[in-house]
Amino acid sequence: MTTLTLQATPQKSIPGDLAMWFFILAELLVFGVLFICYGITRFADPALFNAGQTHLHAGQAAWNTLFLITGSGTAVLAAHAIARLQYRQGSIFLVATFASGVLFVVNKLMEFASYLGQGYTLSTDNFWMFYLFLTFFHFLHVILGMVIIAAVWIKLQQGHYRNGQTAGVETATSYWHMVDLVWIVLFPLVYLIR
Amino acid sequence: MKTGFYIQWGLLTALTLIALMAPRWLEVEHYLLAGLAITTLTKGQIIIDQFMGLKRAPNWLRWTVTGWLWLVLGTLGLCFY
Amino acid sequence: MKYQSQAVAKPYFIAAIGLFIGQILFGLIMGLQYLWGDFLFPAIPFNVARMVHTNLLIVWLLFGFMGAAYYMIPEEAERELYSPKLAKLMFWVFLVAGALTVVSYLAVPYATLAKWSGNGLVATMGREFLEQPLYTKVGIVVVALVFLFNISMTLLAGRKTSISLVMILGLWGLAVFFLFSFYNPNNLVKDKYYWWWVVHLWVEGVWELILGAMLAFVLVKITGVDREVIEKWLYVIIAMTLITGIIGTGHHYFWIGTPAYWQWWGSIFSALEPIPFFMMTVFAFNMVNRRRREHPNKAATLWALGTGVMSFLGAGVWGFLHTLAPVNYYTHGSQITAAHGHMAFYGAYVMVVITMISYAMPLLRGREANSNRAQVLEMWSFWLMTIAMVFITLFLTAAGILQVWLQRISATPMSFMDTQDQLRLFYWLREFSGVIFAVGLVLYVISFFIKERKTANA
Repeated sequence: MTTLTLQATPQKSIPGDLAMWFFILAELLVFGVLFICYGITRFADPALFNAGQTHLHAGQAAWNTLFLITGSGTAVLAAHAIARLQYRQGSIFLVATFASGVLFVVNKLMEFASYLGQGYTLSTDNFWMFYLFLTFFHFLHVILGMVIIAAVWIKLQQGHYRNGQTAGVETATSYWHMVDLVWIVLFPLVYLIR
Repeated sequence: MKTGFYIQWGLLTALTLIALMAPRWLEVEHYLLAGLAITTLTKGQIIIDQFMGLKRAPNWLRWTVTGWLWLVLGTLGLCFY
Repeated sequence: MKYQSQAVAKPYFIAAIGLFIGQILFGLIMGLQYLWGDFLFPAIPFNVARMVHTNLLIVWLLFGFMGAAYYMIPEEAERELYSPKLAKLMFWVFLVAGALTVVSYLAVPYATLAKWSGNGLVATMGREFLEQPLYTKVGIVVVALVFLFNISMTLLAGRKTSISLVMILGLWGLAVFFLFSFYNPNNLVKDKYYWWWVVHLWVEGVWELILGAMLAFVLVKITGVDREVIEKWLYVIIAMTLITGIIGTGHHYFWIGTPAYWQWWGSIFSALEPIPFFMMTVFAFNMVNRRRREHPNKAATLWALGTGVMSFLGAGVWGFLHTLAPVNYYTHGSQITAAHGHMAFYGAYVMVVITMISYAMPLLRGREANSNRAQVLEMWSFWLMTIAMVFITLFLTAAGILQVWLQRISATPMSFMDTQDQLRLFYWLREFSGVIFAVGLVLYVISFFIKERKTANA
């Protein structure tokens, strides 16, 4: 069988750790399969999905997109700052990414509360089953992303990543970008397209 | 790096707002589908190439993630066509 | 062996192998009962033989896990075990309790045992794999808690490595989820729902953490590859295991009265459960290929690689075969399930415990590796048992396909028992493979007693 080497080629390098990228690819596969199942089920019954979609708060979800994008942006800035040995700046940008996650989580919880308050559950119909599950599953990933960002922030305070050793930071920010990328597909899929 | 980065960031924000308004502007469903496909694809590609930095990563990784985006969006496009 | 107290692992390993022999014996008896329904009746009815076969498996694997923990944790934590005395005491408690349970299964009718053991007060018996009488269940909890106390105290005072943290997380999970065996609601749907929290969340959840940690430990030792590299893989594998495995529980909820959405989430997530197993295979081969030294214990390396491959085939591929709801609608509870169960348990958990025994036992007996002759014999036993298990799985799969066809898909479906008559050829072949497996096991046991051949000038 073929063997995988953990060293990257000298010119082109993997951002962060290869093991994390395997994890990211596996996560993308999970979400990809879920999205396509949504698409196929919706294809079978467009009327049900269009009706369900009119009850969603697309504006609120757009805010959440902006939060995740902003968090991704500050994550890029954090990695750059740490690479240029500007640890204070890097630290602030990591906090900003974490804070954008907090905004996402609070906003999303309010949205969930609104739907559950109206009596929608996983058993309501296929649309709500998919909507609630997909967004909740993604929601858990945002929380995991925040945990990873927080862990890197703590390690930064402890004096890791000196001498521009940014692999650990890039490992964390790569995960965050993955969570963002998934949401970028999920947002138009459940809220916008008809 | 800085200028390019802020352009990308601004683009992501602008495309999100455009996508949000698209259902009101584009009443024909096929136009809406095309509009959302283009905005989503562009946003995803910015995240992959620039934010994740896969433009500078080995090809297998870059094209696996890019391939994921195209495959998922392509399949979804067929489902909604 | 770096620490004296690691020696407590030895009796655990010996007991594990002893009970393994018992398990295979009852497997052979049951294989014959598939062919002659009244074989050994009424002394050992089929339901009793099945109970002994499955319960012995679980108990000997638990012995193996505990032995592995007692061996690994001091070495990882770089200190002696908190209390070797407690470990020895718990060994005897667990062994006597386990033996008493099996004897009581065989000696008295199950209903009588239930009456005696206070099942009327707290009803927990009568459920597949959790048949143990109340006192045994309480005993398991006590032994598990004392064991966890012992190794947790060792770990807290010593070096904390990723491998030992994953191991202890898995072991705590094992104990916590076993508590659901005491929860037995009257509502049959809820009963089954939580029953799977023990069964599924063990074998497709926390046990996989134990498996990953044990495999990683042995690979660190025999390949000399940097711990950092191995630990990264371990984290990725367990993260993927938990993501797919926890929601994957849903593949047991298809037809038992739970909400319909489980057919979606159970299908999708369990279909992805092979991924961590595949990563484990790649991981094992990758580490062995990148080895920094030639460890003299070739047999342990073989078992480690075998675990990677066979767990992927048995748990991953054979699980996937019947995990999608539309497929499972037909295959549920057929011989296909039995095929999957056999190869998954052997490939994942039996083999990882033997990997650990194969690596640790020579060290516990004061040498780095066994003599060449002993290792050759052990490798023979590896191939005999593994190939026999592949054939058992293939024959059961064939039986399962025929069963599903005749009994469930055909336009003129046959009754259950009429169908069984049509499967006899496969049951014969399976029993024959089982005998080969038993021969492999006997060779395995003999390999422990082979001495180095004296050379001419010695």
